[in-house]
Amino acid sequence: MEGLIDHLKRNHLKDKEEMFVQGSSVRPGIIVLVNDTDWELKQINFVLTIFYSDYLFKVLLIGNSGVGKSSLLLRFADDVFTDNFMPTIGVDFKIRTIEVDGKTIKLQIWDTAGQERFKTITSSYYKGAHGIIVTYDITDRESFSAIENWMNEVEKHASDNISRILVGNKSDMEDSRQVSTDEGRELAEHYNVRFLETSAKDCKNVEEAFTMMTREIKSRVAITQPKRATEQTQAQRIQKGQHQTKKIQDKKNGCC
Amino acid sequence: MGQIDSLKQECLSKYGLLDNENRLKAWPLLLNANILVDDNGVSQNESLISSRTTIDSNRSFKPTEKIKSLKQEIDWAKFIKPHRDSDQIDKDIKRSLNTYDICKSYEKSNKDYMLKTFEEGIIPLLTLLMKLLEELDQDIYDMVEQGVMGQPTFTLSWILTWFSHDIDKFTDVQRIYDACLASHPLYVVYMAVAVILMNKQSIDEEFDYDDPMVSIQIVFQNIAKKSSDFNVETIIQQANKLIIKMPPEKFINSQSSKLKQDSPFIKYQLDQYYQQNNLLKNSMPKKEAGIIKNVNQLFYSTAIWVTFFAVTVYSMSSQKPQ
Repeated sequence: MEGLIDHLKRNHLKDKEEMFVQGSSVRPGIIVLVNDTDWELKQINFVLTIFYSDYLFKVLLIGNSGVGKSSLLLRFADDVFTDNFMPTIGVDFKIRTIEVDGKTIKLQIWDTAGQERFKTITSSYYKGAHGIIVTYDITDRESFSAIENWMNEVEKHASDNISRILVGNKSDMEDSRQVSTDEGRELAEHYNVRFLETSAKDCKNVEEAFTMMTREIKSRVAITQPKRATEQTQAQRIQKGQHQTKKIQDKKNGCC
Repeated sequence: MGQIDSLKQECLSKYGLLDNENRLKAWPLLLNANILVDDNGVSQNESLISSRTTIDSNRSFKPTEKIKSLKQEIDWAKFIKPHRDSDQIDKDIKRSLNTYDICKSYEKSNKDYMLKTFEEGIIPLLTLLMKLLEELDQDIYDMVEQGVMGQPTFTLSWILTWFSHDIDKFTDVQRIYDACLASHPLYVVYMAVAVILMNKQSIDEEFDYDDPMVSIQIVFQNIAKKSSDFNVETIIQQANKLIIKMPPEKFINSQSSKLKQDSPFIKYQLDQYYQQNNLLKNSMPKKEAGIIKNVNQLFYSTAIWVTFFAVTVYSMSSQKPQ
């Protein structure tokens, strides 16, 4: 150990900095931002969303770990698919605006971790949701059997008039199929919900699933209309002002 | 200061252990893993490792998944690359076994992360994080609190994986591991608080009182992937300052009832806290350490003079009646 400490101490800070810079890659942040058309499009989309969306719906994705919830969201929001399996920890969140029946609808989609140990944490996100997409993997019988538990979770934690749909993902993997389409349809009928088989990989029925979810919400509940951006900013400013005044008052009270 | 303290100090100072060669030797020492490593990071005590693996395998009726996968890896090495130097294969096997031992040691010192449910190990840490934030910055706490519904879920992956789930740059992950392995098991909570406080301006700008949950999520989701907003060295230095300002012993007791009694987070605080605190003070930049020293000196000298003055006045006034 002594040798190691000596070696570390011998490398003065300046040497350390030199070694560190050599070993790391420098990223030209501004150039990347300017050339990144995706980023620009996202900004434009964001501005359009704020000014022109008619409705705001919050959608939650639930289901066993590894069924492809994150892949569905990535495909829908960014039109991307990756084979790398990186489990979600806690929740992930994305926004996309779509047109349904002539209306502009902003979807806030929350993707939850499927592992059992996250249930306590993710269940707190059920409450504010307008719709829930319950997902299973058609190549994994266990994930299909777990739908009952997931539906119970929805009953337990979500509001009463929540919209639900059932989705069987990975329909591209026909060779390893363990759950037939008919079984999926029957289960959906049992719960009185609509059903679709999707493939995030082949981009099959992904748009349709989210559109179906949106229509379900639209038809079922009294919708929450987002405020126009200007109103929102104004309200925010007033609240911020009040917040600041309160803080000053608190401080004054503290002093006195 | 002992040798291990000097090593820890190096880990917490700027740029940490620098390279993989140093880490190969230092990480087992930091974890107090009971293995002897030579200059190449290879175990010298083969019999110790093999006997331990055998004991572990035999102890359980069915070998654990870890052992099984380790064995598969070893068979694979022999099968796929028969032309490779047998010494090299032996070295690889021993390194794999070293890694297994290091993981076991890690599990001992951070076993709360491995508990089956989050209620006992992780949720108390999230509560602790919020408590710490409240103490340090009430305004930021108010906004974050509104946006997280009690539990800062966005920090979950930072705490559970020491940021490695969120950071793409491997050298940054290694750097964070240097600091976390050298410090208190709750160090990562301080790092999380440092990240939140460093993004105060973004929170202030983005915060939407109509939808606090979304605005907080937008600020912190993928923040570790934005290289411009996420400087590991600054975060570590900031966390060092925070752990001195608000040491774990100050507020862990309010949460300790929720943590398991044998939790290493509590145990560490009792056994090694003071040593840790000295270490961190030593790793601070000289200027700041100087200020603290001067403030202390000023305080003590003032206290001595005040006492001296009080005693003199008292003795003089008690002499007056005579």
